Amino acid sequence: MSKGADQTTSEGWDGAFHTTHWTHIFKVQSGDERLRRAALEDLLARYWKPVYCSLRSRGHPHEEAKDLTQGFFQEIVLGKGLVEKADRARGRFRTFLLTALDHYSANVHRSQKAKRRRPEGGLVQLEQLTELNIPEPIHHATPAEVFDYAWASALLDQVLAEVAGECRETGNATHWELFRARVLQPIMDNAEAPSLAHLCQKYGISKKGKVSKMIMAVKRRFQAVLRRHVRQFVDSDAEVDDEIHYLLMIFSGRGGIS
Amino acid sequence: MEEETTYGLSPEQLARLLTIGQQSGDGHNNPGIGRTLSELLQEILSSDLPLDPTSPDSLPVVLNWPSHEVLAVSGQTMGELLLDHRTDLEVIKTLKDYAKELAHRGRPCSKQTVVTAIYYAAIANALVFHQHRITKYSYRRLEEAYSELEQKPWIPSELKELFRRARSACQRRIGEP
Repeated sequence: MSKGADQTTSEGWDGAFHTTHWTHIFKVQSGDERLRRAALEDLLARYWKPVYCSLRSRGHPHEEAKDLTQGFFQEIVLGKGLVEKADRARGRFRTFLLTALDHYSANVHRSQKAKRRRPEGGLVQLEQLTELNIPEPIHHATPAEVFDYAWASALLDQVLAEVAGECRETGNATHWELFRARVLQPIMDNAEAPSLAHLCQKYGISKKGKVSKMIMAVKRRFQAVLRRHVRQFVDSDAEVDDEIHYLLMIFSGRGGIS
Repeated sequence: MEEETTYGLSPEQLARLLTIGQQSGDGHNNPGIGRTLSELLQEILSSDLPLDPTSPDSLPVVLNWPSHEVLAVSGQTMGELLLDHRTDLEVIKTLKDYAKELAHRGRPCSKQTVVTAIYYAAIANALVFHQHRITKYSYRRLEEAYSELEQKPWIPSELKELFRRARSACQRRIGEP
């Protein structure tokens, strides 16, 4: 890809453009302790939720899953240098992480041993973790499916928060509210979308076409932000579509949970 | 998004959110895996009319539309034109022909379904707002079609209302040639 095609990439030492995500991983592998620590914190922020949820789906109650999550990051990710062993050529990092979690989960002696392994003070982000139950719709999903679900859910939360924030900061709060009412909320509530006429009346907009265009503007922004976020986890623009298709496959029941 | 999270939604709902993020080129193509009929239809209705002569799916290309007619409807969405009582009958006929042509082009099934709804919406506009039948279909057949379309969960409420009014118009005229 070209340099201008994606501002989220940075130039690596071999002159190639690496994804932001892999750049963090390379920083962990670089040996620079300051960079390593910062990059690990970033990875922790991205992955604690899928790891924790995957452990919950294996039957661990909240406190135990929290301790095991701490233990996994402390012992395996930090202690055994898991990230240092990651190889981009071997596929998705989250698949690599999930495989390691499977081994960890199989080997660990449940909560007592996990608690003994818990670092003093714990990992700050995880200490603040409130209990997350496995949602009813995925109650019977496999730990791997729950991992993907939690990862995608966190990704969508970040994207929606960013788009909402952008709309408000740029004086387009009404754009966001229209998008939310017409597109987002009907999906989240499994409800029928309000009519354009209703939205015109509610927001004092005279033309339905204007409402449509305002919604489309946010939709396009959502598309761009989602793609930018997904782009951080894959190696090329083309793979962004593949990644979204993969998630759609597993979430729409064609390749996994339904 | 304040205090809202997608955590807890069903996988299908997550998929629907992800489909919003799928690029769709000119907004009409590549419905993609998992894209719902509702989202596809709403996107077509809320987009400007496809008037770009460089696109093979555009109105000027599909129907060989004269440029002065293109200019007359530029800047309006498909939904606005189909739902407005002031839309010229000739424009409505053009939209019907356009939808029919697209439906016959062997597009993905989801797109065919959606353009079929557009096709019937154009006929409904002519029936309701112009008291004119722009198809050879009988009123009985149209009445059946609108009854069926009204039940579809992916049809937006304003279009359902148009279909309801068209169905009533057809019921009054069943028996007419």
